[in-house]
Amino acid sequence: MNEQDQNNKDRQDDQLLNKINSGEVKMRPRVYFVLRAALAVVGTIFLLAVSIFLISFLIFVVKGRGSGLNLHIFVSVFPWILLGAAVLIVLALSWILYNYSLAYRNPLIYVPLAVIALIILISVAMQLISFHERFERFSVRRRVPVFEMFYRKHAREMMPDMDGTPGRPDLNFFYRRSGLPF
Amino acid sequence: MNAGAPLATSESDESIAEKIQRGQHQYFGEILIRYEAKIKRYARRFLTDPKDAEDAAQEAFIKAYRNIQSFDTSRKFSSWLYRIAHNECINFLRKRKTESLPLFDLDVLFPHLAREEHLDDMNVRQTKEEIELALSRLDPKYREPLILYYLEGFDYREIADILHIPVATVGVRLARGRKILKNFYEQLTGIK
Repeated sequence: MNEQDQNNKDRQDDQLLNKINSGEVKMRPRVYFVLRAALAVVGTIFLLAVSIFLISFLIFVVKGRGSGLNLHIFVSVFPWILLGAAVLIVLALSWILYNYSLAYRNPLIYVPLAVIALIILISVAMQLISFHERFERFSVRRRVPVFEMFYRKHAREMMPDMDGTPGRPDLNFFYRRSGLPF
Repeated sequence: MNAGAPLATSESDESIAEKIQRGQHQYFGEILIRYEAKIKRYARRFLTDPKDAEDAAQEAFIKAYRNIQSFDTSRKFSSWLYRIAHNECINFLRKRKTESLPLFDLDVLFPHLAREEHLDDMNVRQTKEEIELALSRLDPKYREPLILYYLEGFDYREIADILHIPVATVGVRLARGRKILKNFYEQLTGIK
């Protein structure tokens, strides 16, 4: 490096350090990164919970209500939108997790596969403890916002041949009591 | 360097970063002394346009200072800084649109298992020569791992951390990059 190059370099270094010393270039506070990391964790847990709820619900309706339907009706009444939403959430989760070294150091395909495996495992466990049967009953009885309508809508869609009543006779009482038209 | 004179020449990068995090801004001068030339050289090799390289390096240091509180001092500082520089270079390439940058590559999704290769000194020297000769003719996705491995001295794992790609993909890109380089080199020199 000749003298002129060295001088230019020093000038640039000084410019940057002067900007730092004068406060023109400011350091972001640690709390900013802590909040960002916390938001990522909360977002991940939320998306994971939603995807587990959707997939376990799909298993629930397919196993409990769709098994007696022929393929044509099954395909027409299956809540494809929920499945699509679950797939999008898995992709979003994979995208978030891909920022962490454990995820990006391994082949990209491992992340969605691991997420799907985790979701299916927990969904099957939820099926074993009859989570949706209990929660559906609870939501309809207590009129839990969002969930009551969710179960009602999809129960009706999966059993269109029952005059609009849901496929679970034990729940008819609760549906009737709610005063809604099925 | 005048302002922020060198203060801690024997300390590790990570402990200097920790001091900056604690508010001792003057230590950033030491980071500049240690890395400015390296980051500029890396940016020059990656971007080819010297003006862009200069700006990218400058922006990388500004971002490093701004975001230094996000640096985990239990990890390697150089990989963190090169990651920032890599992002800046990519931003410049996107702005210029002179080279295609695929959003997604199959070799990231399904990389073959590639073991870290250890070439002998002569092969390393020859590869370095080939890189210097034919660098601008290489696709950025092969150019960057080659620069980081042969010219900057990072290992596979560190390159994976800088580029955010699987370790196996680093091996795949290095192997393919070397092959492409060899072809260029043979075309240029006529030596087989």
